Amino acid sequence: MAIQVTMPKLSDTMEMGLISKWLKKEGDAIDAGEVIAEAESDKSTMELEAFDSGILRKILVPDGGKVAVGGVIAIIAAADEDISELLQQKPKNQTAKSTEPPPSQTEEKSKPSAVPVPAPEPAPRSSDFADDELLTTGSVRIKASPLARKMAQDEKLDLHKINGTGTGGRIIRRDILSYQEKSAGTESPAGQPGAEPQEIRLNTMRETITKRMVLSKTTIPHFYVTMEFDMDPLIEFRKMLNASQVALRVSYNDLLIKACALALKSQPAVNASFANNMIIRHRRIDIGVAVAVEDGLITPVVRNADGKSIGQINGEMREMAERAKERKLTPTEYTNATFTISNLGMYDVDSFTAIINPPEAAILAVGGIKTVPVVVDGQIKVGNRMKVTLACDHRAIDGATAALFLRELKKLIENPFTLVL
Amino acid sequence: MAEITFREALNQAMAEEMQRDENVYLMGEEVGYYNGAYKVSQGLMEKFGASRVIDTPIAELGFAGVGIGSAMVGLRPIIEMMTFNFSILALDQIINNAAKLRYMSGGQFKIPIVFRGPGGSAHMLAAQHSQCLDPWFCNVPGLIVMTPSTPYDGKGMLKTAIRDDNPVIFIESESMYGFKGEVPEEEYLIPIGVGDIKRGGSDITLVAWNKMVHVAMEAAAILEKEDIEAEVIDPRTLKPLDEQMIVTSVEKTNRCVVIEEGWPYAGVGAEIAARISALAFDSLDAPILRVSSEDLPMPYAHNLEKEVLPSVDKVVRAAKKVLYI
Repeated sequence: MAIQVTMPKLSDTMEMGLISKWLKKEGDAIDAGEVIAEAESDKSTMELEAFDSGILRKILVPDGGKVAVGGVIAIIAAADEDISELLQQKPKNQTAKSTEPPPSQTEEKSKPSAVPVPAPEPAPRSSDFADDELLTTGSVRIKASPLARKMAQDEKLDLHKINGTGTGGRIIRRDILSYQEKSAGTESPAGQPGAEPQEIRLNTMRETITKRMVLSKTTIPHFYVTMEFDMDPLIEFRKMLNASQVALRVSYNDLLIKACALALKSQPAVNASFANNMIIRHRRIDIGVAVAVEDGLITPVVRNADGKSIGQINGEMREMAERAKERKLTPTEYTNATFTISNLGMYDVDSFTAIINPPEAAILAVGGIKTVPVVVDGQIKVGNRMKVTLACDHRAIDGATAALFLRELKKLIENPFTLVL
Repeated sequence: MAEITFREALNQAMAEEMQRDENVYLMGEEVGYYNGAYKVSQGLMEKFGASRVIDTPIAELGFAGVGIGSAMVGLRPIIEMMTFNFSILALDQIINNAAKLRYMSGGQFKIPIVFRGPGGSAHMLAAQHSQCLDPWFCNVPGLIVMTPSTPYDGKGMLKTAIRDDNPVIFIESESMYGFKGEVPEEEYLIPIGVGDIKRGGSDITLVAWNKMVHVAMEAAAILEKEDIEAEVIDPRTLKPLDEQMIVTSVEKTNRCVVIEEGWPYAGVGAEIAARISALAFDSLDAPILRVSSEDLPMPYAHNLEKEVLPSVDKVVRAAKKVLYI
């Protein structure tokens, strides 16, 4: 029986998928479970397996092509089977959203699985979708008048490349006309060849960052609380730990993960999400750590960090950070944290504020350890200090709670033996 | 072609139709001996007698009902509302009987009746006597709503309204009765549901009716000085609407401003905007804007009255906004 192969949902936030590479070509025989293509979600590149055996009769989304989650990417059928009906099937107006769990169920229900979940219904044919793709990239919507959209579609123009001069940057008829005029001439507009600014199209990861950060900063009422920690004890403690075993190289991040997990345990109000006019307090303490990768960042998650030893945390983080840089993390590994740490200390940053990663309710921005004059018992001494800034969703967390969390964290960092108790 | 006033054009329409068909008669407050509160029925009583030009007490609900009853048994009444502000008192008859009886009797009765009179504001008549009720009537299935902007249209449309077998709300304007315009000697009829392009243009569509057509025309003249060619469309009949004429124009100009004297909320302008976005979505280069009266009871003070009403300046500004200039 002919089967439509659809773009699976590879991560919680994935709406569009990109076929990075087909590993099979039309006419190849496919066994169920065989890898047929590589697909890129907003966060990672994953292998797509066929669920059914047969002949790969038709590839509908070529290498580099994008399609919504659930969109048909290929058809597998018997060699002599008539697939014309499947090819002509009207695209349903299915959007990626339909396969997402409702936000209120984030805590309980969303267990992102490494196994791609097939969409329940066949969705837009790639060819129909391709036209829309010219107009919007993923969910970063371009503002254009209906007429401008129609003109761009008819003339096969990429709206991303056109500067909007209408209200709020809306692309209007005159922008399309002037763009066409400009592209008709061969001379570069600035007169000097090579003087034009470089325009970089967003990859799926940047699109996700764009969307989620805009969503966060425009819908979450952020407030910030900064506290300075005495780092001398932790520096000493880390030296001792790393001296204890030859192979062990515990990082400050590992210690911070553990400290935050314990602080969250004593201040559970911070370990929360705000969704559907409800505050959801998480029982699990899963800590995401922002890791910079080329063109973006990703946040591998240490699950149940409160119950793990520093050694375990160190092992997990080291391994995940490496795979993160190769974009080989699976969605289970980088989604569904309850709290995030972003550390720019290694760049000699004093302090900074971070944007909350929804649906989490807080994020800790960590600055560098500075050697500074400090006052101890009325005497000026040389000491090591570090500033952290907690950004909180005020709908879920109030200032006093944030301060109590930081005070607890300070206590742990300044008395590091408590981290191994 | 003779140049006559709006009131004379309407007077001719009624006189000609009464002459043509003895079932046509006029009824209302002061229409007979006083020759009409605004002299629209000048000379009709003298010409056709007191049995066909009937003065009524101040009792709108009553004489609207009498009119509807007479229409049910074969007459073709013209019911003059001294102004449409007073038609509010007759709404039960208009909405529940005139608009419904043909439907509810399974077509056994037809209701060939015209309710006519001035609507909208005039000059310092304050909140209760300065109301534009076009959308109220347009909202009721079973009513035809016509509203002319020139003497020529007024005559041709009123004759059609009188000849139609359905109830017609025919909204004139107190401040337009003195407007002059060319009206041919020979008979002509303007069909229901057919609009008129009052001024051709390629850059923006202005939709307006009744006295707002004149505001739109003035705005178009100002825009012309800036090389903007506005097309002014007068739908003339608000229900059924000549949507094809509007859509064709918007397909050409890609932008539209609707000018209406009524209040903005759920107004006729909203209906027109909705239809344009449904039928000409891909032609729109800008949102459709409306210029209407402010959402307020009309103030008595003249300076405030001017602020509340749509003005040439407001139309020019809205036009420039949708032209992105």
